Amino acid sequence: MDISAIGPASKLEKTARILVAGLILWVLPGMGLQANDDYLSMLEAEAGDTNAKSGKPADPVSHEPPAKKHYVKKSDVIQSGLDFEGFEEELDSNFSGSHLLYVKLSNSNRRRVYKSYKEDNRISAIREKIVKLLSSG
Amino acid sequence: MKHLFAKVSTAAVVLSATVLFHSNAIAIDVKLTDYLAYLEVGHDGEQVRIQRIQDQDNVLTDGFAKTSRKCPPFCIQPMQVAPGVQTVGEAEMFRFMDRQLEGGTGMIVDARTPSWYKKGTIPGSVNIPFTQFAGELDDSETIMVLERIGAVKRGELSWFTRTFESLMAKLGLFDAHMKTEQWDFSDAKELVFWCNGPWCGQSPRAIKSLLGHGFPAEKISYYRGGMQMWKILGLTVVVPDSKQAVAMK
Repeated sequence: MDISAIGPASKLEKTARILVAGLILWVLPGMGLQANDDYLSMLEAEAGDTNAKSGKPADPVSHEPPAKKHYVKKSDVIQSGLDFEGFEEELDSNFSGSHLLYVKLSNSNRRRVYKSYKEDNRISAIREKIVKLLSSG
Repeated sequence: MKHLFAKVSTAAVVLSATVLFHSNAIAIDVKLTDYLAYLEVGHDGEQVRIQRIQDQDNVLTDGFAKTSRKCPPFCIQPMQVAPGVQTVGEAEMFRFMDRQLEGGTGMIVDARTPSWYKKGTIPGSVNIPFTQFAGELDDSETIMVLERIGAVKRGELSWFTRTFESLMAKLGLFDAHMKTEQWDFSDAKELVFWCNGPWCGQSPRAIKSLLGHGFPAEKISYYRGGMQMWKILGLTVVVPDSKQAVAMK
């Protein structure tokens, strides 16, 4: 092919291609920046939508077991409002360690434990009462 | 005698009861791993205990309970974020916290924007939003960030130094991937990046930007699980403004 045969039309084509390429290169970074801005705005929108619920703070320097110190979870209390039989049953079913000691109490002391339970249904308080009554004979 | 025996028996029962109760009190039923009940890390000058929520009925109720966010932009990220970057899980995070973080050779980077960071972060993390890694190498923000992670800015290299290092690298006598012409990463911290979870692109972006600046991939790890997994496992979260560790209850 004779290169000298390439006329002005081809040169125009070349120039047009260069211009288009330049335009694209000029526009592209801007589009990238726009995409970044869009991403950031969507991130912030989602952050606003996502509510982080904070809970009971944990002691950062505690050397005691967190399960005891920081949570009043369901297994830390005996269901409230039980009658005497229900209370004994609950103790037997879910707090067998405490129940083991509870059954060593006399009937009157068991009633005392039940009375304490009505005032404070935390298992720790009930255990304390049981131990106190056991040690007092 | 009978009375004495009864008293001794009762005392034994009380003692064993006390031991029983205390054993129950000390026992942590929901440990971190089979050998690790909890660990403590430094965070903002305080020691924070990382533990799991002990309530076995606890469920997530906040935004991290969502299953489906629009993708894009919140698309599932691949396990391998970039060649040479290790993806890690929680057990590796604990090990990193215990060794590199506490030893001062590592840094855990919360790569999320401040609005996310303020909701709560993983103890031991520093917040460097991914946007701060994205600048040009000579941006003041980029320079600050690189210095913060332990990179050292090299001065103007002479022709001789450049040629010498190039030659040594070819001979395998120079650790070329720890240094670029502008930065020396030899003593930079080992980094673990994380963000909101497998659907979050913030830490992958930070990692890719940092790699683009020449930071060695082997010094970067990617905790893909992020805050999503951290929360679903009931692990301690620190809320920066309150300066209290929150165990998510």
